[in-house]
Amino acid sequence: MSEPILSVRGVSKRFDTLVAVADVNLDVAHGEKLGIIGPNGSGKTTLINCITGVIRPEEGTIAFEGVDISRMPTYRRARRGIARSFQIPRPFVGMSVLDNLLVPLDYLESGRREIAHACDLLKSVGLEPRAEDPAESLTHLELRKLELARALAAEPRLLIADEVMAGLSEPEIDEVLEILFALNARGVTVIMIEHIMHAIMRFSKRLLCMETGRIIADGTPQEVGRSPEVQKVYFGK
Amino acid sequence: MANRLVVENLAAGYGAVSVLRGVSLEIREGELVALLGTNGNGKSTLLNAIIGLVRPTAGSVRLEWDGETIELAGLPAEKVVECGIALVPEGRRLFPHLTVEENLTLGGCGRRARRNLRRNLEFAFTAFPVLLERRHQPAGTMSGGQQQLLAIARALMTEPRIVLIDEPSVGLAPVAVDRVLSTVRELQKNRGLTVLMAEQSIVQAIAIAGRSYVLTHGRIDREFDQEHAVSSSQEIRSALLGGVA
Repeated sequence: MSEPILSVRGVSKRFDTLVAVADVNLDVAHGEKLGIIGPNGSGKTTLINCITGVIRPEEGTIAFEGVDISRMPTYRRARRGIARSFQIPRPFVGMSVLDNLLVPLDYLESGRREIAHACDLLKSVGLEPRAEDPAESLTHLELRKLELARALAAEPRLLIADEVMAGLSEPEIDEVLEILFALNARGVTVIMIEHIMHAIMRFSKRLLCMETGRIIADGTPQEVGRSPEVQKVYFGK
Repeated sequence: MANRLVVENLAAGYGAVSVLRGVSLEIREGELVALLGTNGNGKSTLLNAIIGLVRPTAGSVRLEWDGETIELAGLPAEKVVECGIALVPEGRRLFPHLTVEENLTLGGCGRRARRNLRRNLEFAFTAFPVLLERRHQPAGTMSGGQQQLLAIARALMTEPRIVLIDEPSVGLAPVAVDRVLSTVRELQKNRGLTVLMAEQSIVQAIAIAGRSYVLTHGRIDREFDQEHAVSSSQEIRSALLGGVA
């Protein structure tokens, strides 16, 4: 097997007495479509925060493309190629959609603050016609797309999509899935966290289920869905 | 005309985020109806939209009771409670530093039920003997299961026609879940309580519910009577897990 793009080894994170992430080991292969499910409070977002460097785990190491990134601040991880979108889009209001994209471009090492590049990003999420409009005039779906475009500004090789489909209708979900499939086809590894089950089942080639900070199932969506441990977590007995 | 609550094409959400996208269901007097769904599919939003804590953007919530029809959609929560709907919120939301009796009293001091406060308190202590034993104890010092019973009893203090219970099993040990759910069942069976209960513990919920609705992604996916719910348990699991289980 070739080297994984992301390798999480023995990562644990506690908040006071609560163990939010408990000794997680995870390898993600280049080009994977990986979904993570689990009830509220099971540790999904905390794990993502450890991977992106928003919080530091007490134990364990994280390697990205073979390089130990455990001690790196978030912006350096982003420059190396890890990007995420947030559950709640927070664009810069009072700025145009295009300007919203020029901001992250400013912070790239390459310094490619090119309008053409920003327009390409907007095109890749279908927001090009809205480039000049103020961010606050966007619909909920368009905000989600802008959020994705901002995450893509750094040309990540690993994209973490944290509930990008919450609150969207069925046809809107199809649109976002199409964007993510297209990105993945271009070689971007995608980790998706999602509560909308049919969407994450459709997208993921491989699925994990977390519960109380641990990975309790890892396999195809079918295998994970049928796992007695997963059913117990979701449905009681 | 039979007494019932009818929800039709209800839509609701938070700002630009839509959560309910056309929910229709009904609860008839004396029924125990389960609302099944995993996180983030709209169970709490539906109960909150019925009680008036979330304002519906479309559709109706009609209470047809004693020959009268009242449109609840758009009414504030305190008015909906006066119409005879009560909510047992997720996570119980008790006043932890107040005693059991004080929590109950606060539940029962709305306009509709206030005049029967003493009687309602007696009823609560009869129906929930454990609360009588602990009447002077701060609510926050009881076990999770006892607190859940108190939250249900507090809702009953409003003399509701229909009680909405939001995930009574959340955070409880399995034995406490059984105890709380069997209490709900007993209240419905022996005291004629009408209940709409959101639950994720589907095995336990369909074992006590006369009818069950499956809620996925803000819509009612399917409906089962008790017999079919039990025999279709696998189908329900699969629907809730996006078709893969």
